[in-house]
Amino acid sequence: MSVPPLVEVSDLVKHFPIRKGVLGRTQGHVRAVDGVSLDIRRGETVALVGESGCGKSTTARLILRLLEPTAGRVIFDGQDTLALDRTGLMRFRRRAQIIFQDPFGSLNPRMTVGAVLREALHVHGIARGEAAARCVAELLDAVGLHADDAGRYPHEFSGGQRQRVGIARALAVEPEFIVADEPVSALDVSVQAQVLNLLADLQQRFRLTYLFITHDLSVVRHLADRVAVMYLGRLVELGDSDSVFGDPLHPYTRALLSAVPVLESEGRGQRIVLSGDVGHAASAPPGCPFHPRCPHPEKDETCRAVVPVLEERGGGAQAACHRI
Amino acid sequence: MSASGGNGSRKRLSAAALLPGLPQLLRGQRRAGLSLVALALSMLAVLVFGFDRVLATFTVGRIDYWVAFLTLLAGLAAAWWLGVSWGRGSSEDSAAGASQWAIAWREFEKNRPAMLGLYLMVALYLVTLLAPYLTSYEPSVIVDDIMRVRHLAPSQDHLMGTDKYGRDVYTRILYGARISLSIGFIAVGISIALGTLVGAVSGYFGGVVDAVLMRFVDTLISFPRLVLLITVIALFQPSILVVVVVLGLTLWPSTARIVRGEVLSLREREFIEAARALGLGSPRIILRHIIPNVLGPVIVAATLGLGNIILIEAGLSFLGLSAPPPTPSWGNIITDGREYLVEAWWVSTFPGLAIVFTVVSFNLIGDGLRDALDPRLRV
Amino acid sequence: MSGPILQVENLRTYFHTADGLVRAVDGVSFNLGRGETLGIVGESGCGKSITCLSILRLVDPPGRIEPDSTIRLGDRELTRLSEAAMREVRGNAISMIFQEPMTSLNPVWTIGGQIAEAVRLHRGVGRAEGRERAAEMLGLVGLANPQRRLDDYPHELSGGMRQRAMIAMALACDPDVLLADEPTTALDVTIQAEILDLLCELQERLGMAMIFVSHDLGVVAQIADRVIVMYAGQVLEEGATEGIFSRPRHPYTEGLLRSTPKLTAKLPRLATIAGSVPSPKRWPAGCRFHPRCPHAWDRCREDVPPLLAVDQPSRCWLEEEPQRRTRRGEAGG
Ligand SMILES: Nc1ncnc2c1ncn2[C@@H]1O[C@H](COP(=O)(O)OP(=O)(O)OP(=O)(O)O)[C@@H](O)[C@H]1O
Ligand SMILES: Nc1ncnc2c1ncn2[C@@H]1O[C@H](COP(=O)(O)OP(=O)(O)OP(=O)(O)O)[C@@H](O)[C@H]1O
Ligand SMILES: [Mg+2]
Ligand SMILES: [Mg+2]
Repeated sequence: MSVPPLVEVSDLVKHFPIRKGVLGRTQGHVRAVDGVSLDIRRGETVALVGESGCGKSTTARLILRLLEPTAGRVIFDGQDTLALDRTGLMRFRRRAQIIFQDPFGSLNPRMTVGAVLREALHVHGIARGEAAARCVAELLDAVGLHADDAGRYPHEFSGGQRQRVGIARALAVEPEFIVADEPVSALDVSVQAQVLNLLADLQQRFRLTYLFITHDLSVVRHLADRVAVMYLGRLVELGDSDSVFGDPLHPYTRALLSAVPVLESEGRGQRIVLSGDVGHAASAPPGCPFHPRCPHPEKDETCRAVVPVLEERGGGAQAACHRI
Repeated sequence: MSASGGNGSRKRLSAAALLPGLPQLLRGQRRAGLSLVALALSMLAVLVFGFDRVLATFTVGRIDYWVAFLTLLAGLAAAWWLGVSWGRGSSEDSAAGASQWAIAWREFEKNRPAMLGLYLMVALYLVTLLAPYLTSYEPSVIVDDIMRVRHLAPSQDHLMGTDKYGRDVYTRILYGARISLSIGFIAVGISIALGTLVGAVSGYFGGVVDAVLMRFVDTLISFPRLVLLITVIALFQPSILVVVVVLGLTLWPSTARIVRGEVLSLREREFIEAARALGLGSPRIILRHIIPNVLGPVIVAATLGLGNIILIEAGLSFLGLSAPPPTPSWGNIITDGREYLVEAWWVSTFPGLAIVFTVVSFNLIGDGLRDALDPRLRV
Repeated sequence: MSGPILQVENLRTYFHTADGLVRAVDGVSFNLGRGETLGIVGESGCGKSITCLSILRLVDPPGRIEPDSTIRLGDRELTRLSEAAMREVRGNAISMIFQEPMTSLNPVWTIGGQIAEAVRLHRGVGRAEGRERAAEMLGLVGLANPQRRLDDYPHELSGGMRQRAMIAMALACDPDVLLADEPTTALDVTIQAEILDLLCELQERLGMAMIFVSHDLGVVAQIADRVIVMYAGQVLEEGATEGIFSRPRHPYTEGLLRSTPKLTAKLPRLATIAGSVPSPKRWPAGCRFHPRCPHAWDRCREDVPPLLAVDQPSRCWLEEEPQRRTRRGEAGG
């Protein structure tokens, strides 16, 4: 642990104001991210999982400084990203990239694939003219497309191919750190496998660090070194993939794991059905955010009143729960 | 195509030289063929029937004659050049590497009313540019013997009759088209440029910028346009320039509104966020990523606006606030005729029809463009 | 079981579009027994939804159910019913749950009103009775306090509750057959689990037959008795759930299973199926899977294989020439 982590996120908070009425007066806040701390080491893949609306994408955007946090800090390779000046931010943009979920929405429909990639190269002064053309060809090749695909428009590609273009764009600036925000959720099973393999290959080849966001736990199992489980803006469990999947600590993680539909009939435990709905970040309950749905037999007043913090529970696992 | 080789291409060349559009017709490309034939024949007709007027170009030396002369040359050249090159091996390669615009054009082509509008518009502009060759009268010259030539009904000599000063109405409409149509173009150009920029900036930055710009736009929109126009024009001398600028400056708010709405939804799209993540600056994102994606609605607004502006200009000339007489514009030709609607109906009717034609053809084009540029409407 | 309740035979639904014929569903046949759950799996665009919509005759032009397709519900031939008779079938004998719960509920009506409307339409009962039935159904799908929920508008419910309301509406008239087109795809895993439990339980209780469409193999494995695997508008393999998932016969089914990440073990690489799904305007000749199949040989490129073998029919020439199976296919992408 002597090597400092590549990304250090501490107490990240993002509140969106809820505006109502003609005057747009603020009527409270959506606590989309409410105190997230997370270290990401060089070369590893950390998966961020959780249900829809729990704040995964917001966390990702905060880490990349696509959104300004309400509070908290993100240290990237020893530098506070919030303190970066213009040139510093440009350098940061070159080192940290993002891949999006929607292969249709994440490419400009009016630009050819080549133009998209050339633009990335151009902005950072990586290559121009002839050299840029060569780079584009290499990038397309790296993600399993053809060099002549550069002249085509996004709508001429299938979903999986488009996702590859999105990956190529992220790779164009030779980043070290890539946030993948549900990169395979919109894809068919067979295409999903191709893209996941591609991401794994690229990680090896370019020694990439991934923050991988998804709600599909089987995908997480497949590629993550460590898993962070998020619920209503907070991390509730964080640990090595093996320990989280083998011995989940937090009742929410257990419920989540038991709810994943699996093919094999063996190895499937009793399903823990959560009553009630996924809460909403605008009206998170006091105390443990999970307590209204928590199936734990011993939940009590403490759960209702006190917010549990993420604590070391041995074996490299951390969980935020009063009842462990 | 390759099989026909040199022999085939020579044949095609000679067919095209004979009459542009023939090879296209022979290949079964009816639309391309017929438009080329029409273009070539009409240019030739102008040259033959207006030959003395074409010659007069060199003696009169007026700028409108020279414009007409260049148009004629360009028309002839275009007809023969396209006759040779147009439509060769096009249909095959179009499917694979088709750009958004090529696809939109294919959709547009399928839309008959829109194509009709396009042909009408092209014809209109050709006629406007060729005006001196298409008539043997002058638009604003009043002959001495007014009483004899006053209010003549449409006849062989005066296709659309004469007005109260004995001027040929047909000639005045031809020349008036220049003013009406160019006012339209320039004013739309101004309003589109300003509107797109303001709308894009407002939508992209949001927040305070958006609030300020949009309140300003609201104020402008809620101001009755005619009152505004009259006030501004009254402050200056009524002239074409003032009208153009004022029209352009009063029309942009609606374009800005449209653009802003589009940009608001575009801004949420992930490719904009991807561009930001790549470190692109705001000006570049607006120019490269936002504006190309709002051009569709903007073009539509522009074509619809063109029709609108011609109507407004007509209204202004009717009120005597536009091009001062005797300069013809469609609006003030109508004004000239309004007192004599019963005895000399033709004076107001024909420019009125010209306006209707123009506005309808612009609206057809606008509708067609809107449909062609909307991917949801594509089969 | 007293014979199938729904028999689909050689169903072909084509879209006659301006730029070409789209053979979305191209010769699909299956039987659905009483009380049975049939899973339909396949990748996007393989024709799952159009199959369901065809059964209800809800395919819009330019889509058309081609002649000689037969859809028999009991002893009625649905393809020949008049539009009025068909309306009587929809929502009554056969109902459908759609993927997106928000768009398939009318936002300006209360959910109670929408359910009662369906009941009154098909059962000819009065207002009060319709409302009562609606409350009963909402209780049945596990909404707490159903009487109060009746007057809620769709946007006042959460995703899971909306999907429950959709199910309540679909079940309000005791359908014999329920078509569930990806009813859980838009939902979170925990809510998905809840809805799947609910569907299983209701089906057992009410004894209806169900067609469950999904591209998620895990979901189908969990809920279906029998499964058909669709590819390019055709059924490629059909059989009992257990058999399909543990002993797949068709190379496509094998590929699908192998490329699904497993929860139990961390693999270095996922197996993939080479290539991509063909365009519905140009299905490949011969076996439609052959361009992506690791075993394909000449015969696959030319002849269309029928569904071969009886207990777990598979549309693959390997059934006749198993020695052609190659190693490459075993090893996976
Ligand atoms: N710009 C915004 N303004 C207001 N609220 C927002 C904004 N962006 C996100 N939110 C809210 O913040 C919460 C977290 O959103 P986020 O997109 O991070 O969720 P997520 O975990 O990525 O969900 P999903 O799995 O659906 O993508 C949600 O309740 C969302 O409604
Ligand atoms: N209105 C239409 N016009 C032309 N083609 C259509 C139309 N509707 C559907 N199709 C085509 O029919 C095919 C089958 O569509 P269907 O909706 O049944 O797919 P699906 O299997 O349900 O896929 P998904 O998993 O994405 O829902 C698709 O290839 C689609 O392109
Ligand atoms: Mg998200
Ligand atoms: Mg579907």
